[in-house]
Amino acid sequence: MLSNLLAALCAALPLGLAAHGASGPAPTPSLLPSSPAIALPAGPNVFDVKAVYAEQCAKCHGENGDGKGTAELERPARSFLDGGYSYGNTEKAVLRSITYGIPGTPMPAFEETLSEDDRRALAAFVIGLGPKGTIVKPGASVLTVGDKPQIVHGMVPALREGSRREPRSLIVGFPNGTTLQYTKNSGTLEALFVGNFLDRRDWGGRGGTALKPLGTVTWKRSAEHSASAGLVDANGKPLTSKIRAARIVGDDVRLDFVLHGPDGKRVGGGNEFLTFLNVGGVPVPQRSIVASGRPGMPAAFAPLKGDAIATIDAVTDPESGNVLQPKATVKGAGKDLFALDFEGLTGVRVLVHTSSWSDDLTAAIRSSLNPEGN
Amino acid sequence: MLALIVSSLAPLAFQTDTPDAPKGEAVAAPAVAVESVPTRPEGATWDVEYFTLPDGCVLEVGGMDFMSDGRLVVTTRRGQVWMIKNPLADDIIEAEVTLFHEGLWEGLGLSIVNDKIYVLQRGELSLLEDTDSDGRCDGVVTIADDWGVSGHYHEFAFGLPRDKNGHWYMGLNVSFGDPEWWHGRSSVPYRGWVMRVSPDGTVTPWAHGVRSPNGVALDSKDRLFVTDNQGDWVASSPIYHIQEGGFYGHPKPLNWTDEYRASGRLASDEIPPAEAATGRQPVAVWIPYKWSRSTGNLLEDTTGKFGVPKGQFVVAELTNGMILRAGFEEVQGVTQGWIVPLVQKIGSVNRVIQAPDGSVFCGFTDRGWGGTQGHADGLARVRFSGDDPMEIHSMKIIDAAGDKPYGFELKFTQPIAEDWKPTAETISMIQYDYDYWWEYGSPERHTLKTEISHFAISPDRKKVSVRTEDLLPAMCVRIKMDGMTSKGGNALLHPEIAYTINQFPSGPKTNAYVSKIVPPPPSKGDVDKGVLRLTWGDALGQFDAKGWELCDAKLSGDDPSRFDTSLGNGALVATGAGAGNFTSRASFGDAFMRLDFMLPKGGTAAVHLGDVCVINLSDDPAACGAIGDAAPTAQAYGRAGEWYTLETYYRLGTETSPAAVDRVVLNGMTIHEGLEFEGTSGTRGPISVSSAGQVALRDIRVKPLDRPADAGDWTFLDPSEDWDAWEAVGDAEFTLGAEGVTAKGALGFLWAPVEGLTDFTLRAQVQVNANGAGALVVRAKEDGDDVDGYAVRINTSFPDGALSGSIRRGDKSTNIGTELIASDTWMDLEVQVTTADGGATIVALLNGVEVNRVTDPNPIEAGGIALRCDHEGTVLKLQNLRILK
Repeated sequence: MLSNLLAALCAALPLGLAAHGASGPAPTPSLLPSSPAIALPAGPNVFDVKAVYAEQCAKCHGENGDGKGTAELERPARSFLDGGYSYGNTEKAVLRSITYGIPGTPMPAFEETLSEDDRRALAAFVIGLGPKGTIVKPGASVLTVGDKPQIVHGMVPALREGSRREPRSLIVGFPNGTTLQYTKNSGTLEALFVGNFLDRRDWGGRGGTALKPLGTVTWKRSAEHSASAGLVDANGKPLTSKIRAARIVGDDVRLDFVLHGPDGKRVGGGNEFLTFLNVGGVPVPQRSIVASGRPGMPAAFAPLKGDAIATIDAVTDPESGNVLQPKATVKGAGKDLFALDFEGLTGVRVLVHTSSWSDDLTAAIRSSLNPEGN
Repeated sequence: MLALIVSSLAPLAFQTDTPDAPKGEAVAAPAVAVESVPTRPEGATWDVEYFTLPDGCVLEVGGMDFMSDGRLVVTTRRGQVWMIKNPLADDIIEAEVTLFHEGLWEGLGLSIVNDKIYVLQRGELSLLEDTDSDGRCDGVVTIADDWGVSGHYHEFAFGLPRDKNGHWYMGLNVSFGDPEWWHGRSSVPYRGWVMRVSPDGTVTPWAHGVRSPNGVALDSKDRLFVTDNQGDWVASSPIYHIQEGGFYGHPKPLNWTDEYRASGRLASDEIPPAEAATGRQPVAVWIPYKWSRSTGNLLEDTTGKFGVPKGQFVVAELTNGMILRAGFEEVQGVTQGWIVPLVQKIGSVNRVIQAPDGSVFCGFTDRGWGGTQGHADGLARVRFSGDDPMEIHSMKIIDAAGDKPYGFELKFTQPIAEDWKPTAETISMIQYDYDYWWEYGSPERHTLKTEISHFAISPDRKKVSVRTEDLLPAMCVRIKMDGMTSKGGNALLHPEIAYTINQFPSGPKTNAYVSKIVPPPPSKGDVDKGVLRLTWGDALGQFDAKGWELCDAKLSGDDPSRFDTSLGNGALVATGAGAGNFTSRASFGDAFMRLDFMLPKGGTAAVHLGDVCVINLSDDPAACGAIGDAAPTAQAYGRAGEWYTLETYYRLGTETSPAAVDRVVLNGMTIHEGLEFEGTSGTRGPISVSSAGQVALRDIRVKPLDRPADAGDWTFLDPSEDWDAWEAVGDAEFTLGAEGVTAKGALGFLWAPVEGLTDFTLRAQVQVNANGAGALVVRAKEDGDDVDGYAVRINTSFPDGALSGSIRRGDKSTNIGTELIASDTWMDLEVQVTTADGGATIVALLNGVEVNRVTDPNPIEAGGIALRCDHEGTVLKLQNLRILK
């Protein structure tokens, strides 16, 4: 069963690829050049900071920051020349130590005695005393997509009111400037972006921070989309999808997912192909999803409500009369999203991201489904 | 010898815009290509060569392994995977560095199985495929991801050794932040655990109680070793020999044991858990702080070609930038051992791996972690020159024999010179232990210079033994040799060695640990500092609370969807008909807020944090704590009729960042993290509780986190500069000390040297003892024996009905009856004085929040500032008094 479905879907793919190949700007480099790292703070504050340092810090940390001050301490004071700090060597971390002190050590809190500006300047000054580390300048962590799609794992900021930043996200960028953001463990597409690709903000500081998609959001998932894109079991109960692999296939991307039933048992899986339709030179994102249950555990797309907006006739082999591609029906599937369901193929759905349906889209799909152009 | 490596195959990802773009600018850190004169003491014995990397490559090494063809594969904290062809080339210039993949979420562990590359990302263990064999990864397959990632930066995942049965091992960091930022926490499953991943992707929790387990390694016998990093509960940098199911000391990960989960128990932030007393696994080796401050991974030398006895271990150290050498022995069934520096001044060594020819590759990174020896990122190859050093070969503990006490045998790599004798002058020994507590690290404690009673040297002059009556178990030992050379005249390269004694070789076993439970230090956070206690004292005074009353409440026996209330002060409940919301009079910005709540059967309520968000409380455990569509990530609510604590940190939106709830903790369990909200006003708002039915509340406290900065041209009235100009009047005693001015009763005034002030803002830190009282008086004027002015009270508990923040001047007084501020606790007091047509307006702010406002149509026009001490027994303190006109 699965191989039949795949064959049906694959028949739909080649023209999608061709259309995609014609779109998009020339490949661009992945990493923007950065300016050389600057370690020491400069400017009018330096003199004052030195005075503050001499007054507040030198007794323990030494006049030149070597940790050999005049105070007798149970634990030696930090040598700033060595550059290690209890909570990391970012300005924020050092500022925190200056502000609140360090528990269990003689390091006092300066929250009450120094202004925040002074503390900030002091943190920068102290870091400047140490060896140069890796300093990621703004812009040096911006990724752009080359001539192949790019797949990035990471955390992304919240997209909407009250939603959470999602640590296990998948961001797929295409050379044509389209970016798709998925939540891996629900298998859902969260948003489409158009524009620049991604700022790897986790390359700064101590890492682990959210990545920042740089494009403009052109589509965001909402409850109506979730309802329309869901796979269900034989009883109509929703199945959970988890993306388990992301692959670059030629110029396209294929996501492999597994399906879990309401009881958490694995009941099947499938693939989602990310391609683009070329409509008047504009790349229109098209997601072709094929899902299959294990024997005895069917997985099907929940039927869409509403009337058909368009139909795409079946494609038959003129010689044998065999149906190569069943008849497809186009329905609205929520704001700026349309779905094609194929007659008799309950585990296949093609989603097209566009603001309104047009005859051009029907034609583009018709021709993509029918390579002979009949 | 060391020259630039030119990659013939520049990685696609790092091509620059134009062919003539300046080279090297994309490299954020200086990757030193040519080693200057080696300054490391081990320079003659080990050669350190640094790979030079393609432009734009910042190799923050997180994991390494070899392909069968000898290629070295490196994964980095930037989520890239680099392929190094010919890494063992005689001339390092022959090595070729290319990018295999980028786009992972960190890679702090890497394992190659049958030439397939597996990388441990922060969120999953992944297989990287290159199906078209073009040298670039084109598929990322999830092998396992069955552990929690809340999104806190400190939740690193470290690995990734693989045992003979195909199981991988990894270590999951705790995050930070509860209740104060320096505390480790484990808010999602298995933070602070060592985990096993089976070949089929099954994840098995393996051991717990680790903090930042950066180094995970297996030896040739499949013994699992894990290094940890100093911090709370971790005294210095330890190496654990991990036992399945073992507990290694950090309490927070206990939250995910079956026992804790079943009982709902949560580990304390500050009280050592019961398990720590006898249920901890001892640390195999404590690395002295002076040698290791951030430990990376370790490897067993299986080649004997690295100038290290075969079977000993090489340990990565990143802050001090070196590698160390360690050995383990089993003593009464417990692993313990020794450690000694090996090669210093290499760079921030995070990962080590050994090639078949014995070379050790050192991968660097210290971003955000701190390194002292340069080479903040990059890769070096360390090779043994063949020039055998005079070294301590190994150290073992020796049994008592006859009248000889326990001691140690030190073995050396070469015979010791004839003129060197083991004596109290040439060998010194200290013992020490550590504190096990929630503070960050521990100093070495109980340091004792140990008198050695027995010295011996073997006939072949390669072994020295020392014994002492003073030796104690559950202690660390450091032994240092002085003036030792080999027969051939080589000085002992590393004269000091550290040993961790968990057990003696014989006799009763000790149940003590090197890291000993001590009384917890005083709670760090002065828990009351900066806090406003909105329901203490006059529980309703700080709220608009129509229809609410202070009472005791319990579930009604007749109708458990209601409360029965009775006379008391244990709960705030809406009992009146048409009761409205319970809304604070004050408005708050960024804040920490906590409250206790109790719901009746089927009850619901909503906590409004300004217009940032609404936390929904419900008698449905699955729904209690939901915020909009975001369901609570853990069920922390139990049942109706019981009290639960809700705590949250929230932030207003700004131009650059959306409003956010950083964390919501229900009954000690984190139920939300990192929620963001668009479209909020960004303005301060009240905290409000609404309910369609009934809810009981108590102990609402807010700690403002957006305290105003001193912007503008403030004048500090610093008495230490002009104490003589401050005038004391009356019977109080005013003294100047390190904490500013202290006033002690009876009644008296201290006049600041300013006068004729009309409109201005005053800020100061003040505190007062229990039952003491006083005030800061503005527009103050002498009026006979008394002082006229607007007195802003400083009074935490004296029962005259005018507590801190009250503004008093005759019949214009507005009193505060709520004990907003605790006794003996510094508060930020701000007083704003302005004049308009309607008179003078005095506004009082406590800890940055407006709590009181009075307008006087017949004002005093101008005056000075006086600190008033009210009565006998008062101890009132004032510091950092400043004004802005």
